[in-house]
Amino acid sequence: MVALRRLGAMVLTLVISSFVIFAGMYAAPGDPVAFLIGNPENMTPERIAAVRAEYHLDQPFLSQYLIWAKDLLHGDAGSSFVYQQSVTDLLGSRLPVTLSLVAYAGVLFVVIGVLLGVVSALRKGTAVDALITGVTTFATSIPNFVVAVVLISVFAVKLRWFSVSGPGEGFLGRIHHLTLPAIALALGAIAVVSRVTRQTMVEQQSLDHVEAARSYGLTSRKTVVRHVLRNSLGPIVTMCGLILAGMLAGTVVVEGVFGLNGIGSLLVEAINTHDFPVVQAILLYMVIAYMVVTVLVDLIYPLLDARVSARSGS
Amino acid sequence: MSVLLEIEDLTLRVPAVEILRGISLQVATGETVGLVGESGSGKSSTARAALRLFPDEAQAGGRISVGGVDVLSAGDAAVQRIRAHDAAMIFQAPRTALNPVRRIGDSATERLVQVHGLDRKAARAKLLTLFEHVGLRDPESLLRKYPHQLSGGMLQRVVIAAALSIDPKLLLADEATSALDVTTQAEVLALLKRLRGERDLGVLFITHDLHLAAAYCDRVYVMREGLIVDHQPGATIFENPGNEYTRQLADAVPTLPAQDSTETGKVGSR
Repeated sequence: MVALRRLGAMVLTLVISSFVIFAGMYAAPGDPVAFLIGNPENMTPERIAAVRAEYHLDQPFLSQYLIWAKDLLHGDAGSSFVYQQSVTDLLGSRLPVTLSLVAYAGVLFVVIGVLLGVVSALRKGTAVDALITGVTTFATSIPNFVVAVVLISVFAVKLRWFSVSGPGEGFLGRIHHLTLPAIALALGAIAVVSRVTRQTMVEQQSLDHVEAARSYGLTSRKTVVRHVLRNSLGPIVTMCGLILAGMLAGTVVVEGVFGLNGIGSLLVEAINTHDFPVVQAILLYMVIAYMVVTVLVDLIYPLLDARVSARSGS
Repeated sequence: MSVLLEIEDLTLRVPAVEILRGISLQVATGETVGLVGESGSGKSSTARAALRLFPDEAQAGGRISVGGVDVLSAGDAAVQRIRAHDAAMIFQAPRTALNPVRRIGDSATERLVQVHGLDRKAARAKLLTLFEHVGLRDPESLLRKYPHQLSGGMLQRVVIAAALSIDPKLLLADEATSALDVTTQAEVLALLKRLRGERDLGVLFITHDLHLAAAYCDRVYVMREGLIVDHQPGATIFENPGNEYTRQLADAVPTLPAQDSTETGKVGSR
């Protein structure tokens, strides 16, 4: 019953967001016909009519949307105005770079963020805690394109440890090339995750069941792992999921700076060239990516805390 | 009979507040000692101090010895040994004393498995026996439940069983039976009494209920504002209250006059 409601809500979200995306493109300034024909000298009335018919531009708005939506359901997102190539193929060729970048950044911010959070929670009120809080706060306040430029100038140009741009060949080459972009992408998230981890753990530490665990002689390491950190996982996982979902749609700047041919740079390119089908498809991908991640988090949460499923089940 | 817990002139202060102002008490093997007082009198703090459970910023003075080990000056390992083998604490609120996201079975066997190093199966078997002793029905299925699925009374019995599972010499029972209904309370008290006989268990029995303490305990200490104000054998505390405050406590329990029972009945039943 809960799953059904969930599914219904997802479908509704998709319908509404696809409609908004399509309507946004429809309302965007400029006549697609002009971009499709390109050279003003070819603008004969016959040519215009032919192009309008081919792209269904002669139809009323609602039926245009329905045609687009129907094709989407069959896995066809139309073809790019610019590349004359199927949009799904185009996305398929750009997705791996973006997904591997986000996955890399995800591993970085989860591992480092949680680690820093645990350390500062356990050293609450000490110089170490203050240092971690200070450095991570500073890191969040720098925009990621600045971070990216600094990383490039220090590690790629001066020290020559990494290349300046490009996604790299093969698995290891990819990891090597994506290191700086992933750091630039993850830096702000590390601060947020470490803060959430610290805060939740500090709250958990003062709870009765943690003192009870101490009262029966559990070592402090086991108390932290089995009680404090274990019970903090819910908020940590939720926060990491939200950040990850945002990242899937937020690689535009970092991809641009590092010259990566991912979804983000494709989006900028498509907007500049008025390649509407590509823009629509990417925006829809971002909505779906966000939904998938949040649904995953919702599925994981009851496994971490059984009280949640009891509440939502009733 | 040897002294299990000896507290001498214990003081405890957290910044700006003096919680305990010189407490002295003893619990010997096979003895049940009551510690009575109103909320905030320092009963729980006294029991916790016996296991060196107080906030980091707290300052303790005086001397506490459990089984001959000086708790306040001992190393962490020695204190952990006391907590693991010698003294078990039953916390006041069972619902918050159990980890809400872990199953009852995991929480209740945690000391046996994680501290004593028993294998999971043996720990469960031992726990199941104790579950039956404390009157929990269908103990097998309880192990897989979460705290929020059980009533307060059941949780209280789970916590008591878990505390008894390590065969402690000293039991620090902080309002251990207050959440139970009268029948279950009587059962659990009878169980503790039996264990006292079988294992020479010493019990520090903390309660706000002077009548219960008087009926159940060998000796009763009465606490007020961080001090022990009275110390009497349980049997005689009502006839011979050693202090004005004890007498007030004894008188504070409403008694039902024979007439007009509807009015006072509401007041008297808690």
